[in-house]
Amino acid sequence: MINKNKAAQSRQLVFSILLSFILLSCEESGTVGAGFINESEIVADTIMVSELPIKSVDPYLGKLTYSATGAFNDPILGEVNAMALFKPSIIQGDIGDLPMDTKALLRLNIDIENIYGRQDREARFKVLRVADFWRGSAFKRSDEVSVVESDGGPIEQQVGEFTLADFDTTGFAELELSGNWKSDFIRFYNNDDANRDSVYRHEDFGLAIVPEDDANEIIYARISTSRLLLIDPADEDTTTNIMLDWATDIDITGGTAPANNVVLSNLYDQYLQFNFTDIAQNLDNNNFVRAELVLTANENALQNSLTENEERFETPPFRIQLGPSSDIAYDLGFNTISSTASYDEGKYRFDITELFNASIFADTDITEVYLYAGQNSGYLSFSSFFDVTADAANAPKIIIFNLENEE
Amino acid sequence: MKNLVFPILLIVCLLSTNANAQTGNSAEARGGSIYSSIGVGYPVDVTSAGLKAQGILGLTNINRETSSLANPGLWASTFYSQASTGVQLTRANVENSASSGTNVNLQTGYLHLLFPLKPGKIGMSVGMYPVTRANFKSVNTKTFNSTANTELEYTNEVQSFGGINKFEVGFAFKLGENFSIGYAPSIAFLTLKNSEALDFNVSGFADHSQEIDYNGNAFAQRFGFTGTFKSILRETDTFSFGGTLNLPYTIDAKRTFSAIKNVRGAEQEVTINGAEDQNGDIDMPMEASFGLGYSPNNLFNLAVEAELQKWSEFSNALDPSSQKLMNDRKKIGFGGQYHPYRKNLDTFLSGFKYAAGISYDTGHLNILDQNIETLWLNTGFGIPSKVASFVDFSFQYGFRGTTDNNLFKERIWTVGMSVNLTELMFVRPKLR
Repeated sequence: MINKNKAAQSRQLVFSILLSFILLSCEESGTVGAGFINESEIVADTIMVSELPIKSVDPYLGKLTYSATGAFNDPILGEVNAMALFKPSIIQGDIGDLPMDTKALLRLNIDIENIYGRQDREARFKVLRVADFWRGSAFKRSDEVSVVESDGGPIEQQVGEFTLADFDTTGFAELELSGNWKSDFIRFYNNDDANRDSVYRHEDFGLAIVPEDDANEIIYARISTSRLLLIDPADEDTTTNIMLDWATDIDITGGTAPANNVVLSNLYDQYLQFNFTDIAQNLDNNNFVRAELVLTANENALQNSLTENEERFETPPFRIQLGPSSDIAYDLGFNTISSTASYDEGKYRFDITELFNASIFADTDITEVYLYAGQNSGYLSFSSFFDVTADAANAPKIIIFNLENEE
Repeated sequence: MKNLVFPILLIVCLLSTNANAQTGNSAEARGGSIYSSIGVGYPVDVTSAGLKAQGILGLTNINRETSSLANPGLWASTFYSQASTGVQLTRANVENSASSGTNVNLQTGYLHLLFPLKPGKIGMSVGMYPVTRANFKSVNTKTFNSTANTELEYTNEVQSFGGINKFEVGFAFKLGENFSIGYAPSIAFLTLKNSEALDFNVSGFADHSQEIDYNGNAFAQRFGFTGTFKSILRETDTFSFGGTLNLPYTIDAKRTFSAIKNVRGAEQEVTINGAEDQNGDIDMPMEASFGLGYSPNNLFNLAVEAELQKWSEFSNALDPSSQKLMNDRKKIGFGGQYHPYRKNLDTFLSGFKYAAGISYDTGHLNILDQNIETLWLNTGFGIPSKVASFVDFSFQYGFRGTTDNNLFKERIWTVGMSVNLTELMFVRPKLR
């Protein structure tokens, strides 16, 4: 009986070991079989873009991070003339009314590193009174503002002047402001009427930083970090005033794009408008993993169009945005970006997969797709692309990466 | 044996559940034969581990220890209700002229319930079992040319899972003293998923997955017969023969293609135009088998069996390319079983039954003029109980395929286990 129990126990042991072996054995996924099994391959298909319609827009140029001022004749972009407009606030400090002999210092902040144009750093700039009403939050490129250049009467019109040599290494300079603007400003400042702010906004047009006629460089002022210092000569008490408003007034004329090229700057003044509907409809039978819009920059023209002592700001990022838009000037700056191009070896590549997917699988309207230079923080930059008339290697195209079965 | 009841029942429950969930569940079975990715999967021989150990299907009535799904004619002679199921672990070393690797696959098998409506005369069978099985997964590293004229790399996880299962209810009748016949109608379900998941290692390319699902069902039927004769050459011997005929059937199948794409910022299953749902017939082939068995006494039995599956008649309107690779499958097996436990000896080794056999299978595939043949060497043992229940283990070593024409050769180890329970198992012994 004992022997029979032992035999039974032994059989149970064998069973348990084998059962455990089977149940606890791990599964492995295979790694052999590539090429034998039927699997999909990625095949690139090229569709040439037939049209590259350029649209114009009147962009907002107020209250940007940087305000350009200066002049430069860029062979591709054209002759650029810019002036920075600004208007100090009249927030009253603790010192009460200011005497008329108050010293006014503009603590101006500029980007000391980046200069567009000649790098001589010899340009001279004037601070002049503005002769027309303007408002930064609504200031558009088409708005025309003039400055009081010459003596308009018995009182001197020029408010200040400076060169880049006046700035320290952090980009700050303290520039004394004078002339009839200062006395007018002190009167606004000392005005205790309830409507002083409103009167100031509408009756004082602020100041402009304007290059001298021989300037061949453009600098970037940072008005938001600049201050107006008001110093009482009696006790040296200083009131620091922030800037109430600012904008950039830019004129660009006479630009010549290289042959078979289109030029887009980051002023948001022009953009390319695509209608991808037909292309997407023709793709609805394709199982694609990526759709890519490729534009080729004319790097040769960009690099060889400046003299040795001239520089441009780096080319801007290029973006795609889905329309339609009722206020394109606003939307280019604030609406959702659909795609930002990667840039490599002269090619801008936009991932437009989601746009096409949205059109094919969700009936999203892609009749208006805007391509534009982005990041208009005030730095002026641009790029030159080959257009649809260029050779096939450089012309705009859409690459579809299809997933095709080997069958 | 009584101590084994709980784990055995647990396994039965698990396997019963898995049998339903088997198709399309990638976590359950993976890394099977690379050849299972073709057509509707690799044909499955539904046999217990005890029969696998002999290299045969179990067509004859030479040994009535365990139930068999192979031949409906055998179901008439049962005296007890029986339940059986099995599981098989396969490890295959795969190689071709360019690569090698290992696939491991745990495959659940079948569930078979047998009821004696009239003990020894009329039996009823309820079974759920696989007919074909695809369980292949491969992760391949591939490249393509970007528009920047650089080669970009991605991985493609290709999976093929599922196959055809049958739910079958059959009856068998004894005709006279020596013969019995059986008929088993069934519903055949096709659930097959071929999927790809592309994982890009570069920015700008979102991961992509897609799958093709084949679903359908059909009415199928098969017949079986057996003849059993005792005392032919000697007083203690038994001779038996058996055969089956599976009629061809047509699956009304539907092919569905779907892909996951990023649409408006969210992943969404989409249907590509031109890849809409398709309906088509899948013609499954006729199958026939025949076997002979001889047992000189109650300790030893031998059997030789052959099977023909007319896969050359297979057609798939939804994937016509696969039918060009099909070839008639012929299989022959020979094996025997030794039952020392019937001597009632007290030694350890005499407490088991032992089996061995060999089988050769031409395979159902002919690729580049090469039959994907399989040679199996089989052995195993079984653990009996006093209440006519068995736990059987099989060990098989097989050679499948060839490396010619850059095809794949698989050297396969399998360990199988099956459990056969009778109603006696649940009868509490009376106190004496």
